[in-house]
Amino acid sequence: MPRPGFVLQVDDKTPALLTLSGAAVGLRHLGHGVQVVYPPDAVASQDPIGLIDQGLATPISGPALDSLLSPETRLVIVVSDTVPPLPQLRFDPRRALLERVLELAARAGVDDVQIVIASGIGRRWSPHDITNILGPRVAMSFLPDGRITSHDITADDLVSIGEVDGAPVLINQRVARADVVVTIDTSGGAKDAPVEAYGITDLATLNRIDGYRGSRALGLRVRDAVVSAITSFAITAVVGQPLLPSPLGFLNKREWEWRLPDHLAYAGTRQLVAAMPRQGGRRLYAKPVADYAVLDVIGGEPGKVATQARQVWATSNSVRVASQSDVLVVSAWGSEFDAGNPVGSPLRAAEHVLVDRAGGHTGTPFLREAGVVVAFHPLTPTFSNRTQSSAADFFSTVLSQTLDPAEIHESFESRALQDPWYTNLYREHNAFHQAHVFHSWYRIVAASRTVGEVIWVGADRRAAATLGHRAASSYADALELASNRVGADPSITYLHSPGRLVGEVG
Amino acid sequence: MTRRLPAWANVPAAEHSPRLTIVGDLWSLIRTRPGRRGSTPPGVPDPEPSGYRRLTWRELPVAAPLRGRWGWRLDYQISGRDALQGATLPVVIAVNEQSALDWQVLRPVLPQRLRATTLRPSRSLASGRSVVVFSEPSKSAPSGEFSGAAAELANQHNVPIVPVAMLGTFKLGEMLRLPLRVRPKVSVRFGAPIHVRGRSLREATDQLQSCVDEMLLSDEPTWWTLTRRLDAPVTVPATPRWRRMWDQSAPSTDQPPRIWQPG
Repeated sequence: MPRPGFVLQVDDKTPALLTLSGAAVGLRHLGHGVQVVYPPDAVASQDPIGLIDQGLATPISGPALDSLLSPETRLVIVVSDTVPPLPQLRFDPRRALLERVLELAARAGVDDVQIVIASGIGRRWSPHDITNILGPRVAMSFLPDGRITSHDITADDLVSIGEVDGAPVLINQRVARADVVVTIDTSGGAKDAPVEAYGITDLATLNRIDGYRGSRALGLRVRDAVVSAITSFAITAVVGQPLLPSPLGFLNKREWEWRLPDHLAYAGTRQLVAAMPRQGGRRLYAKPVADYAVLDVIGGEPGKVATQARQVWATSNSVRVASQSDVLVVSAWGSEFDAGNPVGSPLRAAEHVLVDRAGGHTGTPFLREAGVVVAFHPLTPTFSNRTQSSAADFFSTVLSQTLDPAEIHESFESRALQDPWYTNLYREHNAFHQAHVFHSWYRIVAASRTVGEVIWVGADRRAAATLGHRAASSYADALELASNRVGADPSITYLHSPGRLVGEVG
Repeated sequence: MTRRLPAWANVPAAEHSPRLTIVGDLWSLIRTRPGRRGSTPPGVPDPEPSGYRRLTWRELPVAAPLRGRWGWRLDYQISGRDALQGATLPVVIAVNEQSALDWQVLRPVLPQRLRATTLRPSRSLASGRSVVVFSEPSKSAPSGEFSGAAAELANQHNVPIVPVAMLGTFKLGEMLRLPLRVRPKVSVRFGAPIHVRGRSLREATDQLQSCVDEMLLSDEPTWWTLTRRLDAPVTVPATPRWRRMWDQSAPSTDQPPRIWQPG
């Protein structure tokens, strides 16, 4: 059992605390009285085979998986990637889950097996991704015959399974025609996107549940409609906090527990990032991988599995915080929200800070109404040419004209969705779908409505202004700017990074 | 219609230039005296000891080990390494015995993090060291006969058994005394870990036995055996391609057939 999360009250004896900004690390004194919320400790993973076998053999509801399989069964295994865990996993439990399910299928003599990667509006997987994440054994057995495919939300052959709120819901053809569908997923955060609704459906449905005026309740109704149309068995691995290997191992430790090697690793990391050209420094920490302990493996009916997985994760990662605060301070470490880009793009940084971190609570936010969010991130407007092309155009073209979601939805979204260039990048070049950035922006704006101001420390001023936020040179300057709204002596909460938590505030 | 950004937003960002930070950081380090006692803030829970206990792909055995007494005298062929990735340490390694040199030949190809030993198995497992268990010679099974010791140890310490098949060590000592111009070939094949919990010791031992037997037979050791088997009627079950590929790419059988005489 790892050490649970806790709240530290900063006093005279508290050492300088770790802050992360893009790829850069730093130690700062945050001032007396700041309450620092630490997530639970990260621990090393164990072999999850025992948990997986138990999850498959004793589901929380419905029959065990092996009783659903026979030689005539048309089996489709859906591997969920609707909320990819970041930093990337050193041992991906989805691989172990998939191999175990395939062993069961082989033992039952199932001949017709297909694998569908369900990433919704996220990146479709390339053969390289499939081999890396699912392992060479699965790739060699299924890729050459085209038995592993990444779901395409714009495909012409999607199949209707009925209507929800008067609109048709289309799903992946292979899934719709299967006798048994097994969904494989990981649960590693407060964000919840059921794969049946957010992974294997069509663009129009995704726009209704996740886009402008989208709602989680509608997403759950779509999930129920899809589940009722197919025979499905879900298996989900609940993963813990990311444990980073050397030389970033010091990020997992509390500052007063650092020993000499940790201090030297910290100093070396800072010097490397500071001394090298920008691109070089980024490449050094481009793709950190982290070890995640598997807390539980839950199998059974999809709706119940998702609910229980979320409860297990929240129970393991909740931290009680005494009260709301006037100022919420958040570190935005690129590797936690942007795969392959250790600094992270400004839009992903804003979503990470305002939606994922500030929104990670059980009902009462960390920040009081109209409080101020202070975030550490450089907001350098760099985007991947291939995978984030639509986000780059959105940032430079759309946000330079308006920030209003209604206007963006009316004037820009439909044009972008019909753009064949973006669609081609999504289908052929593993880019995010162009709807992804619009949905992100709607979530950012919705999360910002209760926030008085967002101030980015050390950020590109133009990028901050483009997002409708402010920039400050230093942490002290940010507090000075914030004093216009929250007074000269605000209460401050700092969410320590890396790691994710659920705050039980009040 | 372009948004008009505030004036402060039009100040150009500072150019990135190399900076020297390490001097200041080391000076801070000296001043704070890291690791001094009593610096833990009050009310903070104690940490749990943690560390990596699983094998990563970097720690898997290399194709041709150079360390050890035999590394440069033998031509190693190692297969099934992928099966070890992610295995929790320690493990019980179950090997077919062919000669007195088996342990010395095997040791260089085992990942160093296993800290494998053949001595005091139960105590070694309790202290985090992996143990190696050999089969007994038998005429009924090609790999010899595995006693229940491996399964019992694995069950007692809740660790997996890693089946290993070794080919080419039979009478290796005599062979090495010959004035050979080529290095004798030795094949080491790793199988997928076997988890004992939830099944009987007999079941686990049977699975271990059949796994090592299969790994030995999957690769025809001599051209003669191969030729003799050609006479036997071969029945090919009608299986789909994915299952053939799945079986073929299993960790124990992912090497192409070779024709050579191990001894």
